[in-house]
Amino acid sequence: MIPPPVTLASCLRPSDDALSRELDGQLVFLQLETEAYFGLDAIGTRMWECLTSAESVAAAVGVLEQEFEVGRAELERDVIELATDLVERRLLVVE
Amino acid sequence: MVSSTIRLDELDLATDTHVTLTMIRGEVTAPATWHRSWQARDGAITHRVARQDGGHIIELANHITCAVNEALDQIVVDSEHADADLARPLVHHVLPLVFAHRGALVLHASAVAIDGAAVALFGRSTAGKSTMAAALTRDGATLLSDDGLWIDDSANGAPTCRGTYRGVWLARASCDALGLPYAPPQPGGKSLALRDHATSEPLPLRAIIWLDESDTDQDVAIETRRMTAADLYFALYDHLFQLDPADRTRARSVFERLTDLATTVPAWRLEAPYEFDQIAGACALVQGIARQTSPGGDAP
Repeated sequence: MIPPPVTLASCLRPSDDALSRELDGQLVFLQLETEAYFGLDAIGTRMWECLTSAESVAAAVGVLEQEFEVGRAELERDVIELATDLVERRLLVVE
Repeated sequence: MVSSTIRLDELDLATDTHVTLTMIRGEVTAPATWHRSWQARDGAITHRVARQDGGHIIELANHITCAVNEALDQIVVDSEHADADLARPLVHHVLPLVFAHRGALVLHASAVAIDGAAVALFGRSTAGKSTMAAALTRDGATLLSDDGLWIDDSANGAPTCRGTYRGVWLARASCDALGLPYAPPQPGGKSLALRDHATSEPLPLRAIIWLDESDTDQDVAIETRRMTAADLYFALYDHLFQLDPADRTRARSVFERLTDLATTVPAWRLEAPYEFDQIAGACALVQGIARQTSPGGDAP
């Protein structure tokens, strides 16, 4: 099944089929269904934290905007790109 | 205790290892589909696994098929090969897979003991793990593992490790380069060396070295770089013996144990040209890391 597209209004949560753990500031994952592993660097890890704790992608971007010196439009693009990748890897699900 | 009607002289488990397992010859029906295949660098399938009738089927590249029963206490081996030709693939590939499914954490790695603690050598197939382990052993280390490294969790957070057989299988070129005898001829063109310099007893795992074959350009310097815990986790996962990667309960346990290992044991990537005349320099770096990480050492 093709997952719904990630938009600024999307609410995301970690997949029940994904194991994750932070190792020295970097998140590593194991997707139990696909048996694939994946990792995020420090910036990606921070984005994951915001995406999985905020009520929407837009709210996550709002938090990250305070932390990174980057324009809003570019940040939205980067966050949606990462979130889409994580959804396709079945590490995040769109609620 | 492993009881086998096939002679497995190489098998040498530590005295505190409790495995009740029977291995016999018999007929094995191949499954319709395979769940997972593993490939060598040239793309050839080294082995593949499948679930069948509650148990598991393992097929090795050299026409050896094994059926492991659901209770994990009997292996039926279907092969025309003589015992002498079967021992190495069974000890090398099949038993580590079964040990892993019985709950052990078994990784594809060589290891030596330096000053009473283990240094594990990881790397892709043909990266030189066995040759490096043999070279370090020739220089005074104790051989711990050639290919299958059994990791034991420890209550105090310091993992220990052990090998599953004594000795190291070496190609003729490695024996010649290290001045080791290449005899008697063995199946697969390799010779089992340094059996008298090996131990099967568990030892604390002090450091992990990742052999990273660099360009064969002789001007490339031999160097080491610390690996991040995340990089180490990915590397370890790639070198895991798994009989059934789809088993979620075991996958969760393995994830916990591998990430624990990645945060507990320091690791270095050793980049060196894969040339025999570079072994001495590479060994010196490994010995230096062993000293740095020993109690009282100056670990970076």
